[in-house]
Amino acid sequence: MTKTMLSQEDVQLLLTDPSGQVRVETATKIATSYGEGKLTEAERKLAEEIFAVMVQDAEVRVRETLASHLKESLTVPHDVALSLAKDVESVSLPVLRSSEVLTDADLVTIIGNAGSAKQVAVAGRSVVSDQVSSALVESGSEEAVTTLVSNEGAVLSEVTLQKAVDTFGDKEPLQTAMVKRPGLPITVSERLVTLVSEHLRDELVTRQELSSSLATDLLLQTRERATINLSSGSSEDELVNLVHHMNENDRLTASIVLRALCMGDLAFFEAALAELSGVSLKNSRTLIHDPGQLGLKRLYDKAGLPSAQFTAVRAAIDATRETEYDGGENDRERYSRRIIERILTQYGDLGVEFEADDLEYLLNKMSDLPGEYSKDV
Amino acid sequence: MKTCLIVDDSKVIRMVARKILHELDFETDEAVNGKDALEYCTKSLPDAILLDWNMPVMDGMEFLLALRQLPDGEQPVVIFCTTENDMEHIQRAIESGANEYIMKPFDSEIIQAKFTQVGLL
Repeated sequence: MTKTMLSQEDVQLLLTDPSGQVRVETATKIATSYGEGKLTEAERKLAEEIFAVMVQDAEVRVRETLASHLKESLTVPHDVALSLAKDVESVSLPVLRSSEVLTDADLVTIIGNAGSAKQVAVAGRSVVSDQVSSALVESGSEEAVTTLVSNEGAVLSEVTLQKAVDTFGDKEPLQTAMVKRPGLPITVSERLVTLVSEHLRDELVTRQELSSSLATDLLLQTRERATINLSSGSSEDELVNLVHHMNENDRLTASIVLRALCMGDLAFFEAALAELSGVSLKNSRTLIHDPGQLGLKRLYDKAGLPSAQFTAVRAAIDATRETEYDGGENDRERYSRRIIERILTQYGDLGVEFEADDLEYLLNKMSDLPGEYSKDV
Repeated sequence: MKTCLIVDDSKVIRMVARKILHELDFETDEAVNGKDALEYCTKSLPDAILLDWNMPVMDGMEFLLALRQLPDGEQPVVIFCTTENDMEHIQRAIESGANEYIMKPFDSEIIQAKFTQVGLL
């Protein structure tokens, strides 16, 4: 028997003084030796038999000691690890946080029956599979789901993230965790923008002396601005997904489509018209850029967009064709600014008209975006 | 700081032009038609006038002819804005005393280029 494993004196002491303290010391000694991996095969089997008895020990300190020493062991028997994981929190939490012996099925079962602290422990594991993440989001506490979303080692599918937003999207800690999470799908980002805006609106109304309608107006502008900015730089699939998601939630409004186009986001406009009209993206693009101009009108009408703004749309598409990126720093912003200028300088004389709030949006946007002079600065 | 009078019946276009010109370090004033612009110019002549062509009450052409008759009325550099693209129309404006023209729609790059071309920048 190795030096660190139980000696004859240890066994004698255990027989004469089977107090909790002695059992704790015994557990420490065996678990330490086991954890160091220095036992012979026979000693290891004996240690595992002792563990199987000790996990039933009435003294919680004994079980805590085992959990503390065995939490990172890759060889501890599965039933021992599972027993510790199902124990009271002071025993189970270290094992739930760290033990790689526990399977996804174990974790899912525990999540369903456990309180928040155990769920948080699982959510904070270095790696969390999508199956476990899904179970946590399905039945976990707010703290557990927030911990999960904050955990970059957790695999979270788009569906799981959407479910998390459904359940706890109005909670600020989750919003913060979502915002900081890298690689958030664009559809989740878009919903988050809406929820964050709604939350801020409530804050504005509650804490500031603003009427609900004024706060809503302000926040709608902010939300649409943020959503429009989301779409730039997205891949085509993400964009199609985004507009579909927005349409399903009644957020693909005429206003947002027009504003995006006037900001020079032609890709968003194309995807939005395809979504709203039910025409494929490829065919929509062909119709939008049809030199005969009838194609665009037909598609626009089929999409159900307001006919009063068709001239503005036509002008905006022309402006995107006539305007190029200058290649300097912030040229995306200057490009948007010049597109807006070219659209607004057709106001009135050339039949371009906007709803008052869209006009205000574009004028504000023009003021915010850097002008031509800024590229030399 | 140089001054520019923006003459256009569209408030939106005046706002866009004002924003662009301020960024080019111009001080601006505005008039909604040729009549208002002429009244302004009888009191004080700006360095430049950005002039819309089609306006109610007094259009750009009438204003321009009257401006050039004022004492020192030949001094302001007049750049007229038009939606018409036929050469005859543009020729008529130049003969009436316009220094340059820009086509609507315009943007800050076009304004900057034209103002540079006529020596205002």
